[in-house]
Amino acid sequence: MPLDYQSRSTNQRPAVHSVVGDALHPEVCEVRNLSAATTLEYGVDCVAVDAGLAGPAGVTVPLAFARVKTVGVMFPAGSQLLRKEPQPERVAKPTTVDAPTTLLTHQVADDGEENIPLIPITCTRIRPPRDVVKLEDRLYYLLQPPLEQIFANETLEFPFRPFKYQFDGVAFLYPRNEAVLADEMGLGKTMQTIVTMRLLFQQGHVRRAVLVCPKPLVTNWQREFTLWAPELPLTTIEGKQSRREWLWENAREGVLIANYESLVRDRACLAAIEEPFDLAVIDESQRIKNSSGTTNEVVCSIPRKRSWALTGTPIENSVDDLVGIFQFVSPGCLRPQMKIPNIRRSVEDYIIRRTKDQVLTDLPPKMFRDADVELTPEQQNSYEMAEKEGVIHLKELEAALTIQHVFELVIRLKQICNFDPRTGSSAKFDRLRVDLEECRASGRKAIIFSQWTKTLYELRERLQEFGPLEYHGKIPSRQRDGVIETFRNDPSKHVILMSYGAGSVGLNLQFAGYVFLFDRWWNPAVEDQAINRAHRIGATGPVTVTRFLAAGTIEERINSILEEKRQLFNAVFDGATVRKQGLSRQEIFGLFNLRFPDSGILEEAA
Amino acid sequence: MRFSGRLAGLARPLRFPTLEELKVSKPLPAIGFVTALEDENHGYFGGYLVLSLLGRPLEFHCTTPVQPNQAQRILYGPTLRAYVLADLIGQTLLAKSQLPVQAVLTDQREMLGLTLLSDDIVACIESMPTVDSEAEPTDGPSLMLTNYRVFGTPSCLWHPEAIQDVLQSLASHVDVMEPFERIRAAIREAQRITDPATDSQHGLADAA
Repeated sequence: MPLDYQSRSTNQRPAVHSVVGDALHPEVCEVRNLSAATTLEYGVDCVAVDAGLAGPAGVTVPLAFARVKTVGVMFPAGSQLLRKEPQPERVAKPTTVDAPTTLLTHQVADDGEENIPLIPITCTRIRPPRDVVKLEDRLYYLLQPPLEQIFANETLEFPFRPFKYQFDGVAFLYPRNEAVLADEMGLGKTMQTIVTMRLLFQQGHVRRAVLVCPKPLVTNWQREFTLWAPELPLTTIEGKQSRREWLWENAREGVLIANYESLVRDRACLAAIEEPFDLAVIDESQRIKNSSGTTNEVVCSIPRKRSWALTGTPIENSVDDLVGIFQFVSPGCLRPQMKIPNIRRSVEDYIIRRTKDQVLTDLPPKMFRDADVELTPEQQNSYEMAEKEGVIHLKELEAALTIQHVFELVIRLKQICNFDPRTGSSAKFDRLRVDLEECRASGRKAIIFSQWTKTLYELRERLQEFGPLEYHGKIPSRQRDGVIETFRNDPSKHVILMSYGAGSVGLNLQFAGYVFLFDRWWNPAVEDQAINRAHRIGATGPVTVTRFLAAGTIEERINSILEEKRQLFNAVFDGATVRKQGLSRQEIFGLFNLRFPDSGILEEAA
Repeated sequence: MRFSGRLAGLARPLRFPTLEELKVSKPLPAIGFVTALEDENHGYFGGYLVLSLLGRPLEFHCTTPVQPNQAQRILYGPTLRAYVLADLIGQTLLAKSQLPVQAVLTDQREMLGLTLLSDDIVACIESMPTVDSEAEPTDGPSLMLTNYRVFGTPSCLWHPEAIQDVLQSLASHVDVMEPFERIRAAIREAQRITDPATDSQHGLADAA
């Protein structure tokens, strides 16, 4: 701002004026004691000076932020709520400005007792799987309440609170269209599956589902559905063909339970289904491990939107077992002959597997006793004679030698290890009898497994004092539930004789404290299944597993190969390395120091 | 412009309400939860989740990062954070929402500025202090809910009785602090998906 400096001081002496203050409020004041000016000989003239200030400089500072962008999603339940709701005027707010305080503590029940607030101890969240790519879908899963809260919700009643790892299993299955629940036997795969299905049904994601299981397990599934999802309509596909056809065509809601055997016969019905199932679950999915088998083909032909496989033994023999299962779960995910690291990478988002050691730290212990018995002299003679003759015979066959010939000899020798065919002498039985005495004395029950009904019959005759029951392929299906109930409830029945085939899956026998493997199965997974009939959730005491092995025989040689198979399983699921992938033809021939004619080809045999 | 209770009293509506304005209808049996995360590199991310009284998600919105510049930091000074959370993030999120709710809960006191910007009942929820003396006095309305304290600012016009039933109903199904965890997880996910280059999962921190 230009200022006029034509003023003088009161004593008429030239004065110097200066502008002070800020640009908005200038003040003019006389400068006193400016000694330099008063001492100048020529005086000082005051002149008008243009300060050169055209005005205070302004700087524009943006005060507003750029518009805030948002990403949002309205979930179906929200849309539904919005559509249902009429839009009357909003109720005006109260106008009081008081600051009252209301005490809202615990809810009080009608009977005056204070309810315990529902604060979950654990918090299990549903995480979207990798293959869910839309943000809206991922948010939908992330924003679901913790499963513990859903369970605490009084609109869904459950018989008892699941374990934390079971919540994890449900959280894993819930968002997945493609999943393998591969928990070790006895950890509750059935319950986790049913609970997840129940949630999906309740929220309208699934209206119609099909469950395929081995025939002996149908009643088990029916019972578990009644327990964990009593409101779900169940339809069991059974009976004559005309009835099954009608059911496939007309059961349009709820859960259909079919067994593998009838499913293969009903393949034409599957082809005629127009609307795909919202969910298809296959139990004991190792049934479809053979990629080129009919069962695999038929199961994979089920029209479906979601595919879940349940198995305690995703790998029984080789990693190709997984390939078969994934043909159903996620076709194209795995290819035959893939390397183990690639398989691990490809399946890790689809498979969940927990072992008892990992999750059931309070489960009673499972104790193994390897009963290495020496054959009786009679057995030893028979064994040596059979082996000698057998090997000579195999060598004589030369080019005509096939793997069936070798298997026949193996079976013959294993049966001699059980009972001497000439005298009936049995070192295993002698040991078993002593152990059963102890079992009976302690008031506990025992399961005895063998792979041959002939052996089971022999045991039945010799174990009459223990009230043996039988559960194997020769027992009609309709009688089997009754056998289990009798074993459970009749205190005079201490022993049940089971075949690996009929008794190794799906049964709950946790009241049995002893398991005897009278002879060994071809792969360890089936043995583990058998053992876990007793060692599972609900087991009230330790489970003692006795594995019989005739020392110095074919059983010992097979056992060493089984151990290698365990290593294979660990390589895929636990990251260990493995040298061999299974029982090859070469190894089977090697049991008798025979050389396989075409040594370049390895084929899975067992 | 939101269709407030005062406008509702006009003798004749000026025009038909838009979908946005339908929010002013009778509150649904739902509760809103609003919170924000702070990331030192990207600024603030806000999230708003509407839950049914069973705790099921009905609607969700989150913001892209809001980053104050240096001038704004200087000009807003100590009020910057409250301004960003309430005026910018909270107000925007509530405006985007289509579902009218019974109340909006936040776990950040700075968000209570929404009270002056919104017709919704806005309340802050905090864990009950373990020692009585630690409880900060509030001049606004407040109520106790299980282990939590729900309160508003003195400018809040809501009465505790107006929301006590609905909060009690929600609290019987849901830990009322838990939904904020969901929001934070969803914000991280949205940020990761929409801007993978700035995947700041590890950088995002609770603004509280």
